[in-house]
Amino acid sequence: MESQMRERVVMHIDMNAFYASVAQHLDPSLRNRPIAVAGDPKKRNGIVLAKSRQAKAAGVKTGCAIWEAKKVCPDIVIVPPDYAAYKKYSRLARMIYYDYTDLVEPFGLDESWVEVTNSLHLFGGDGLLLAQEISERVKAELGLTVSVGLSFNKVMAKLGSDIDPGDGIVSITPESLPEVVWPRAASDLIYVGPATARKLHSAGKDTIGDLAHASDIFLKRRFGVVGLMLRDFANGIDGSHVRQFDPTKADVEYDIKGIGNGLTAPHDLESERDAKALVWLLAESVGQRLRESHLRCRTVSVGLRRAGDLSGYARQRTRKAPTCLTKDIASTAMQLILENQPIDPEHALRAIHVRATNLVPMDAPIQCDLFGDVETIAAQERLETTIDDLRRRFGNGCVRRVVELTDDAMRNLDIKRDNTVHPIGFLR
Amino acid sequence: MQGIDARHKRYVPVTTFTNEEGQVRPTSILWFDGEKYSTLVIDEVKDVRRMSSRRVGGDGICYTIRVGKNITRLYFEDPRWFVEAKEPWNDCAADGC
Repeated sequence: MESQMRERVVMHIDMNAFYASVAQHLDPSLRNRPIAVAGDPKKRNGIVLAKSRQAKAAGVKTGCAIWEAKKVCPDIVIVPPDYAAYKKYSRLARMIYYDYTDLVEPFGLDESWVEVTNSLHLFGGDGLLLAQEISERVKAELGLTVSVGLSFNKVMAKLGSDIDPGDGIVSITPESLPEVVWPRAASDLIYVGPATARKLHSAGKDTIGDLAHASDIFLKRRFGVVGLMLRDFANGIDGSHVRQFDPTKADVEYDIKGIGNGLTAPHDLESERDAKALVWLLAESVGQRLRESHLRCRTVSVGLRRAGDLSGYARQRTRKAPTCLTKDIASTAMQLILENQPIDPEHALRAIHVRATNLVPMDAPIQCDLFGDVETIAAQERLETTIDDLRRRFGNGCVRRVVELTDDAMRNLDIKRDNTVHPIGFLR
Repeated sequence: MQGIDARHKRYVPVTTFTNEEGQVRPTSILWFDGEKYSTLVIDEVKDVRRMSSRRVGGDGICYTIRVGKNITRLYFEDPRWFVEAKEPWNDCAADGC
């Protein structure tokens, strides 16, 4: 009973300017200089992914193009991203957190919730001191700084870590909540994005305090059930648990809802042949990842970005039978594209995204098509898993499809290896 | 010169001793001074902990070691070893150019 009554102690640990800090840690000559981690301008993905504190002060924004960054900050140093290093430091940091509790829930590569409610007494019983110890250990052992939010639930802990963006520890208690949290902008709260903030602003509600005192009727009418949840968040009410993950697994294992890969092509895609090469390349990675996760997909979707006005749209189709074959994914994706637009220099494409959703486990029974050829499908699956095995042993480039070799610029791309990691949603 | 400017990250060949528990202890460093190689015997390992090197960048398992009278740090940055050297590594000196 006592443990149920005890106030929870949850930390949200956020590594400051993670990508840029790792680059500065590995190369001390970059320290205290404005740096930006950015893609390769030659491959046309040259946008700023992350920036150091100095670059932020100069006005460089995440997501802006390299030339824009150079305009506001002429002496900025551009460094290429290094996902292997980010993953390594993310894992090492989590290993430090695991020294204090088994409840560590990663949120993207650089953030984690750490619940120490039931282990705090083993480390002196003072949450603030423990937060300091963790912060100092990360700094000493990994050379990276973290900001820690210490509170009684996940939402408030996250808010606390956002208050002091540099190397700080912010504690929010139920008593200090009206003083610390309510004067802050509503958009500081998790799940209040630009659209929600705009709607709140139009009703004259700009702070978290305003949101905390909003009426049922207003919230339900404007936001539905989510409105009531946001008000609870603003009042410090959040019962969600810090989920437990297997620390031995390198990456976070969430329930996979979809597997997708996308790429901005090295040059505009002006013919069906160009588009086909990229679609197959993407489908190959998606298919391989599906088979590795022992999943089949029912729905294939494509996202497209036009070269002309950079506008984009997405289309999807649900198949009769679930599949994990590259051929099926690629041909469905290709069909979707060609049904929606011609591909010629006038309607050139800049980027394509292929995604498999509506996933079912591989061992789930399949309703066979009465006129379909079950044996051929089974044989193809065997062939593709064999090729996967070869690729696992000898690299993703060891077996390639001819269609992928038709385009010189894309020949050396390895989509699966360079596959990126994105933070997942808070509500699942 | 002082601080980080005065030190350089230098990877070095190291011999280690692994006991039956799997614990690893470095025993000597093969050191090249620009002209010849010499073996620096590690007389004592004073401390072992995970640490980042603020001076030269990078991190790993840091062994605080004593070689004769000198106390210095040797980092195991899996799978390589490095020291915070006072002199920059000079390839030209090794090639004689």
